[in-house]
Amino acid sequence: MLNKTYRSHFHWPLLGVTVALVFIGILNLHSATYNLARGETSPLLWSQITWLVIGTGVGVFFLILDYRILIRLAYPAYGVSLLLLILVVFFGKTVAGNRSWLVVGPLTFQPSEFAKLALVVVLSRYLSDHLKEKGGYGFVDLLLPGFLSALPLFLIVLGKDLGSALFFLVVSVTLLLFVGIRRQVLLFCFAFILIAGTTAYQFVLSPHQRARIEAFVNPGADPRGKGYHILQSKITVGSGRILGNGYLKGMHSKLLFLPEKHTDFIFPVLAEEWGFVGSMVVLGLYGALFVFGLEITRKARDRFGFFLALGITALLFWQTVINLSGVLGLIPLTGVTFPLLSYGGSSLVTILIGIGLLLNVSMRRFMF
Amino acid sequence: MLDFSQEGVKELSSKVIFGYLAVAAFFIFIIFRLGYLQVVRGHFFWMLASEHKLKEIRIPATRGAILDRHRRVLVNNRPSLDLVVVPQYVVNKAALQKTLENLISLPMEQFESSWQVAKRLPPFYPSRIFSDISYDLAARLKVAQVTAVGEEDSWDLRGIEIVQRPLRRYPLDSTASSILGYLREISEEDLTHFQKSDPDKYWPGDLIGVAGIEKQWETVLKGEDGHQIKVVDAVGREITTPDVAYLLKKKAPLPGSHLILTIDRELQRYAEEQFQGQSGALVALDPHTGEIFSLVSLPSYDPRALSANITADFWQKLVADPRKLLLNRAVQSYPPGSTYKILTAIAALEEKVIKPEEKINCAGGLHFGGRFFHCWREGGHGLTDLRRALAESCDTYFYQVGLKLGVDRLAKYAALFGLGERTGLDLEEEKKGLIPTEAWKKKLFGQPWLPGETLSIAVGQGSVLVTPLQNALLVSSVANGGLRIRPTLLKEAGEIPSEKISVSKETLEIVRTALGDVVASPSGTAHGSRSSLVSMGGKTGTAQVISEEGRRRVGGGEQFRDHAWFVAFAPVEDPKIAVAVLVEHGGFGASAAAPIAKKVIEKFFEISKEK
Repeated sequence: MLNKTYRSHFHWPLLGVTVALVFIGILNLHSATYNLARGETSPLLWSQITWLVIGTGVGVFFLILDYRILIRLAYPAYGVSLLLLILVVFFGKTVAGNRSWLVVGPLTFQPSEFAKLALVVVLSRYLSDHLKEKGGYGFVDLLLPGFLSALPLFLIVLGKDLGSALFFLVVSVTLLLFVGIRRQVLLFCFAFILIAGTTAYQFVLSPHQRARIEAFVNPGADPRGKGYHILQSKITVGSGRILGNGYLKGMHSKLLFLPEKHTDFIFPVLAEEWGFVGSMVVLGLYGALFVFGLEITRKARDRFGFFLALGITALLFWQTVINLSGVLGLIPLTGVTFPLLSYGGSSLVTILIGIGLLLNVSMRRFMF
Repeated sequence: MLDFSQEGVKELSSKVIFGYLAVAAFFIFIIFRLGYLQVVRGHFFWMLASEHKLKEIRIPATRGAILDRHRRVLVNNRPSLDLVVVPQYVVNKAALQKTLENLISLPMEQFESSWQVAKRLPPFYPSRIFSDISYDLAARLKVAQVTAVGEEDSWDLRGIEIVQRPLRRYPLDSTASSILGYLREISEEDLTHFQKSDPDKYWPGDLIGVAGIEKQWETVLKGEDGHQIKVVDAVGREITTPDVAYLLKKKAPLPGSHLILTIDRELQRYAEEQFQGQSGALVALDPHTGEIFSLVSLPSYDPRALSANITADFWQKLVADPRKLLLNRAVQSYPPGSTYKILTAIAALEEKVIKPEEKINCAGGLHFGGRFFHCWREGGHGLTDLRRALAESCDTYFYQVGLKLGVDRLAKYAALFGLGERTGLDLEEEKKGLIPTEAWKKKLFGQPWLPGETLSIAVGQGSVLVTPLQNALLVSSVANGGLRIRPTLLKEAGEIPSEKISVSKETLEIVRTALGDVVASPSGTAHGSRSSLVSMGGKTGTAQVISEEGRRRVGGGEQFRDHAWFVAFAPVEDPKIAVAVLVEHGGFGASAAAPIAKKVIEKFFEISKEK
């Protein structure tokens, strides 16, 4: 199935780091959802393990499959993801104020997670087809990739999942920056975002989204109200101190002062129990993951492979950055989950497909 | 079939360096942020987190009850309410103090002194301000606390709590208080001691047995405290929403074990009543097993007064009381007087210094060493054998016998019967008594023993001292045919083996018959206390507390009157009970002590018949 050359170029360290993080993720999720009083493992954990098994299967499939097939499948896949997002708009299930779930029989999944990957694939295809030799992209050149990015973004905003929408924007911008954008265009965009941002804050954002930003600017103003989440999050992280309180002993998170501790606030659970040292070890593994992603990007043998690897790495990196900065009180909370640690089947499967593709690109880099 | 768009890949690859830089920048940022939150301010956040979460409330274990031999309650528990302050949750101390003054007229000073104590303890630890408050008061405080909601309220009860605590209940009032003992708040020394040996078992403010059974069996009675976890928010308000309900873990306290004593509640109370306000002691026990039916020490204290809110002043008064209320007289040493003749008689027969039928003439006393030793009967007893000498308590007979024996041989038999040492009854305050020997005097005073002193010892005067409990055991050994028994207050303590005393059966039989004569013979000293219900054997004793010359000097004050003794057993043929009665300064044993013993013995058989 895989010949010797493939095996010799297989990126074992990346696989190792992934396995370690998946394992840590399950352990930590167990602690976050553990029912102390009854000594019971949460059903959420079993659900996550089920998704892990599914994700591993799908990930292996995308590892074996030659990634270059995706060049042809890019637009159809993108189309399907848009279709699913449209279905969400009409038939989606609303959880915690965000309408972003689709229910199909026993499965509940989040098409926006898969749309991230579809967007990365379609942009990789478009950008590898339209590489500029000199000067980078101008306004006109940006129109089409901008449109490709804006479509899913728009559909997600309709579902009130602004955090994910912004995240799409950041990933697209990262890819475009690597293609190259003319300086004037960059400056203009920067100014535009500034103006559009303030306008959006005033007129587009819902009160609960505005509250999150206000809470970020001044969390102490209303600790029981708008600033509650971020303050509790900081208390949880801080109370871990240097060595942490020990596994299953993070009482602040266990006592439900911390909301959504198994999704958005999964990192504070880890930080409380394992302290600064433990957090650093886990974040070190994430660092290794990004560095391996970038290494695969750098060594990719073709343009599509390059953009694919870069896009996936950017996906992982920005998801980590946005979630971590949010829970540590560095940026407003967005609702973006922590890759591999947070509970969520769709996200887990998406990330495992992404890592499968990274390994795929790495493995096939010397093949002609 | 597939595109090989490889042009420009090199150029693109060179840009990946920006990716590395972004990752590095982010990590530096995160290290600083986490370092700040967890290392620099970690302790602060940890404190904040701790304050938010768990409050462990101790649930005191219910102390084991103490029951009598028929499982009737001697001491058990009643619920009481304490007013406590938890310094951690006190926001405005001045306002709190004022509120308590207005609401329940608690004196400022009392709060202040509790506060000083509380400040030395961990801030989460509840310190008692007032014990055993009324339900009415508790209700008023609770209502006030519930309705006080914000800063703008005129009162402030934050940091105040009402906690339930079991206190001792004494259904028999002061009956048996000297056996049972009492509880006091644990002293700092004891606390340090227990903190080392048994951490977390005792906390400041805990009650601990300091006398009697309560002290002796403290660890058994105490039980194990439980605790309950409560979730509170930053201002100390309890969070009880259903989502935290599962965290409200509770470890139920393990109640202390009940103790079943050998005491008979009814007999005990009856025996105490027979003293009619006189001070003294009584020990009634089973001469075969050593089970103590009744152990009286009077006057005694009212344990109810010691159960809560004892002021230092009250305590001082109790300790300084000249009646010595805290003393357990049943295990204190007294001169045994003529009851000691039992031992002298046994020693004389065993050492064969005299034959049972051999007669000695009593002419009202004995000249010895230039001094005249009186017999209590001025006219004398005439020619007396051993049996009559015991029955009529002839001093002259025993002076002579004592001289022949010598003090050391007498002491040897005293030791055989366990005199001069503790009986092994688990009461810490028990005294050893004193059995003098030549060596003892030499060692203590550096002087040789004078033969004249032996005369006094032979009739239980002089330096010899015996406890009422020892005396009851001495008479038991005569009654049971020479077994040295171990006294016990615990019903289920298991069989304690009794030792055979190396004294011949014949000797004991002679003495036992003679003791029967004490009551049965018309000339016996206790004939007046004979019972129509049961045959009794016994020995009267009248112990001088001051020498004849001394008495002449100071006059006959109440405090110099003789101690009255009576030791007895019944029925003579098959003894079921042995009794020792001591009435302090009661005068003659025959008139002051023997009637009490008789009544208690009759009551004993009356109760036995009912059962």
